[in-house]
Amino acid sequence: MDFQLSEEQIALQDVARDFFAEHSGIENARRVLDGLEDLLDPRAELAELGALGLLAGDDDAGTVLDLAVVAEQAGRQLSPSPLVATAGWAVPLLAGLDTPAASGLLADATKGTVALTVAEPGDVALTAAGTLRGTTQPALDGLRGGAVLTLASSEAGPALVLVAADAGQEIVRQQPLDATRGLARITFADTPATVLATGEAATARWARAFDIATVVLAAEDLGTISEAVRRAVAYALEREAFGRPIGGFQAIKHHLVEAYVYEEQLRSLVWLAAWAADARPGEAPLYAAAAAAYAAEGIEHATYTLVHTHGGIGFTWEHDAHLFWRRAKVDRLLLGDVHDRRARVGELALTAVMP
Amino acid sequence: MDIEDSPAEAEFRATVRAYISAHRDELAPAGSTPMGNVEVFRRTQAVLHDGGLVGATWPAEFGGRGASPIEKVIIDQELAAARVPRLINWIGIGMCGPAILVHGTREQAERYLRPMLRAEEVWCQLFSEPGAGSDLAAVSSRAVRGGDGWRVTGQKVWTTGAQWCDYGILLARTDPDAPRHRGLTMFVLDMKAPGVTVRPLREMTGEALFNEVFYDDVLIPDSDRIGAEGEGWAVAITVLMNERYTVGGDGSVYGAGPAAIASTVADRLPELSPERRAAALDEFAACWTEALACRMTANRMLTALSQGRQPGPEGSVGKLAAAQLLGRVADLGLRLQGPDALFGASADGDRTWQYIAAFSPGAALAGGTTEIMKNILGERVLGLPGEPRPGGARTPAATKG
Repeated sequence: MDFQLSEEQIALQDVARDFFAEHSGIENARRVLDGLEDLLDPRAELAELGALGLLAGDDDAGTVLDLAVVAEQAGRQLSPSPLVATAGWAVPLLAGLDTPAASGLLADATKGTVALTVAEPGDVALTAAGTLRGTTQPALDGLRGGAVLTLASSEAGPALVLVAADAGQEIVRQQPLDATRGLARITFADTPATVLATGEAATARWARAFDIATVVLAAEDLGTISEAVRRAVAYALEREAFGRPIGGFQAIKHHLVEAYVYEEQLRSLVWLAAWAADARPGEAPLYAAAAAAYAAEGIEHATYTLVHTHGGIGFTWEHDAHLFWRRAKVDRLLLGDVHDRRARVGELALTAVMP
Repeated sequence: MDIEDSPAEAEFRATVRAYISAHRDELAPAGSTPMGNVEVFRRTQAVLHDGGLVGATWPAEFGGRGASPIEKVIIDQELAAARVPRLINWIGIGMCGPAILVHGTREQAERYLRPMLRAEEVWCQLFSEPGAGSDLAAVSSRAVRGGDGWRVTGQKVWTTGAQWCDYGILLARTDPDAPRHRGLTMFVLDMKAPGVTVRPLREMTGEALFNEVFYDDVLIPDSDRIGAEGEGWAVAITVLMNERYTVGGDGSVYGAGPAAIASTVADRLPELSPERRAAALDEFAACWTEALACRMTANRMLTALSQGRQPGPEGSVGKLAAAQLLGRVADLGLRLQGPDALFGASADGDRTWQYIAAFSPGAALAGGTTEIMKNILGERVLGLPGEPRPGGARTPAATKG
């Protein structure tokens, strides 16, 4: 039994904490919502940190847990980072694929020189001519205009396809609820694509990468919850009513504790899921779904508590609280909602032995 | 990171499993309670102690084997896997013994610990009173110096298992003029002493595990005082921290663990409509996830303990989450009985989930109510201001110390 971060991971956590404090997305998130700024892109800096290629499969590459440690700190600052879409999803989709298109893109992605999005397929289909038709689900980092990876239907079964950034696809812009995720649907109209894998090879690869992305998303949510608790507690200590700091009243205190329990329980689940992604592939899908289901509930609870604890000021546009709330409202529905995730847990847990 | 057993842990587990398996016939049957089976349960504990499986973390000189916290957990896991019921002396082992080890004299440890481990003497905890529950420092039982010892008079309530106990640790007021946390002292009460009366209390489960305990001018020798006069609060905190550690978990100890609910769900699913099947799986998944989180949070605490570090707030987090989880699992299990959920037992007489459901409110009360646990976490971990308290004492530390 050794259920803790290693010394190296704790050092990585400290580096990541400082990095994202410097590259915080919080102020940018508000200005993007107001149409005053473009979304930040910390891609190059993250690549320099080595964070994008952790799962690239090189000898010196890292683990899913390493990536989760970095992602938690990104979530703390609502960073519009490519950690979920690129490092946690596209990279494991591409790693180990022995085609020039895939390995070239993988190298560029880990160097931070190209933008990438992975899209859940929606009704995207591969035609006999090798082009794509249809529209994806809203895709993380879709607004960045990079290359697209998706799982298209085809006559030969599911196909993992790659669309170059300049292949002519349309990015469907909509008003954002949370600006930091860069969400957009992508529409293809006979758009040229490269097939990377088909059939069982494609679905297995897709499923494993999807689970890893789910864990990285849950790790970002963990950081967001942790920061929401920290901010709410700080305010509850400072704000006085009836002659006392409001955090001294059980009505407030108990809400904050419930959010904190979500944080600590989720930390345990994220560590397990991230560790299992490398160490116990057979059980990884169950733990990934469990962590994600818990994250969806926890982030809603904690960010609502952040708004509520602040009272009227927390309800204003000027205050940061709603930016955390916005992140929660979006993240809880990404990569499946809480009921999708629990459906998976329910199905797999019936026959599983709890570790 | 690794949640697998280390080679040494795996070897230890194999030894424990082999011992339990070889002696399973001598142990209390799965699902039984000490009620009406006291002798079976005493013998069970003695057999387990012969195998080094009771009080394993205690020093060898007092009947333990100086095992690590991880080894204790491995023992607990293997006992649970073999469906061995909870020890009759779990309160003694979990709470009274640690208080004696930490605060007692060498003579007390030599006198009491070994018979406690073998359930030759069974122990209870005499803390709550009609006027002192969550506000434990309001204890009003009086102990007055007289002759070679103390004369105690008063009443306790909610005393689990008192009807089959030989001793209890008793929190009493020795100085009514001192600030309320300072005027308390801890004693060993001989439950068979003249003047002690035990009266069972029936709980909402229908069983009578609880008791009222009355003591009228009962003599306690001064050699049975645990810790210094006026230091009873510190001893009580040691007990409570151990209690919160003992009563945490994933519901397994109450028969409502992940395996039990999974098997109930699997049995009932085929009888449900597709809509109800989806709803049942959704709730099962939520419960299973929470139980998994409780286990992994406990693993963090164990990792810290095994490396000689003080655990963080995980202990209190676990107790709080586990009490809420038990209520949820119990209700799912009950609802899955279908029309039989309208009755106190199924048509064939099974009342497993009815019992757990009626027991579950107690888990949110025992060892510090959910609200008290939230106060502790809020104040000691989040650093929020304390509740108004006469005497200005702080809440107990959030972690087992």
